[in-house]
Amino acid sequence: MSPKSAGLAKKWGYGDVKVYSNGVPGWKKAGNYLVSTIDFVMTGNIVLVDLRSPQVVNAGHIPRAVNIPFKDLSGAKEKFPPSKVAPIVFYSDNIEDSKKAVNIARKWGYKNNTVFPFEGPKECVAKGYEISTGEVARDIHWVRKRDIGEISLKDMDTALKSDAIKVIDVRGMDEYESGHFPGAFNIPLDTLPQRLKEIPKDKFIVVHCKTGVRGEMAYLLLKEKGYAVKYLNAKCKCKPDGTYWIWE
Amino acid sequence: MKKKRWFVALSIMVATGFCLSFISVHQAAAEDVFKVKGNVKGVSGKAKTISLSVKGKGSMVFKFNDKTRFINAKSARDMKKGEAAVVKYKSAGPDMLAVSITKAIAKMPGGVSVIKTPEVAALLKKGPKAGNYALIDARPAKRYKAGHIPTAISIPVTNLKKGGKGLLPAKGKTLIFYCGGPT
Repeated sequence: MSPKSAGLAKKWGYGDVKVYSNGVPGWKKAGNYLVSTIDFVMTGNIVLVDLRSPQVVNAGHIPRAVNIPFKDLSGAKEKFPPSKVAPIVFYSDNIEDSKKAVNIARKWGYKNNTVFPFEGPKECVAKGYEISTGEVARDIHWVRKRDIGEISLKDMDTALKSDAIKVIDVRGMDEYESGHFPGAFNIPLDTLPQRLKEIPKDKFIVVHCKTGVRGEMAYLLLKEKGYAVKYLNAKCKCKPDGTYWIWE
Repeated sequence: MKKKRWFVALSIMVATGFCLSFISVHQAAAEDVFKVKGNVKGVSGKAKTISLSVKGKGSMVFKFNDKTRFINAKSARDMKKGEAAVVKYKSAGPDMLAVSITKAIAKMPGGVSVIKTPEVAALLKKGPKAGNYALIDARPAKRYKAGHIPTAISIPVTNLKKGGKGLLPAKGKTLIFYCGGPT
């Protein structure tokens, strides 16, 4: 994307044109932080953490924010959602606290942590956004929004009990044999393109693997071939006796 | 007599071996290697499988092994979803086995130079005015909103193509473009 844009700028006569080719991944890898826009903070499905002290927060905070004062953050790990892809946005009246918070969350394994450069409640109102006053939330309630094609953990349980839904395990044969979901059928991902005939078109199909990576590839392939298909984007473990665990 | 039979048996074995090796060499030479270009849809290190979306062909699933050559990438780990890749493959039984997997790296257009993280960080410290730069996020706006490099402005590459040069800041400063990775 960026070389293309740079090429256009050059064509239009701009003199000094550069590309930061390491881009966002390189920037994060070097320990730097990213910032989110006010629009994302106000409307996104995020974990929003207000790092200021409770007294200041109650006087005016961003709606949906959860207050964890910066000094308490390092001890508050268990408050955060189990899913490490949850987008977490930190804000404070001291941006240095927010930057440090991003690094703390990174150490806990969270992958999408950003800073919102908060300029105070007045600035938010001036930009046309609402501000909440009074008692602020202390606990995080974040529910992951699933992409089209992902099956929820609850629906996965239902799928395993239903005759109208065929569950296909796309792991390797050895992985399947060491334990699989009750009723699941094994077609390893790499043999899937050659074995489409074995998959009924009159049933809903759910594909899964061990983490969701192979499941997603199988999902894309089957969707293309016209199947009504979903995939499990979660980790799972199955014992030889048919007991299983699914978690994110 | 016994000795002679042994000798005959041995020479037959050697001759067969020679013929077989010749046949296998001949077959290897005749084995077709195909090449496709597409976007990476997913990679599984565990299953040693990479899936590519190829124009006109849809999803293609390839196996790779220890002999697969990775070009512009150290291993399958460096192949990221959404990036372009070229796979050379041959058929191995029912599978398509990747002979080589090349991560497509966009060539820098003429006159455009690459800037590294420390230089970007140094400019950011000065700020866009004192540093006389415009940092431009070329990714889709949704990505920019979720998280961008401080001081960056958003001009998605698709907008720039359609909207033209009026979208860029005035001339006279350094333009730095970035996106989601080294492509």
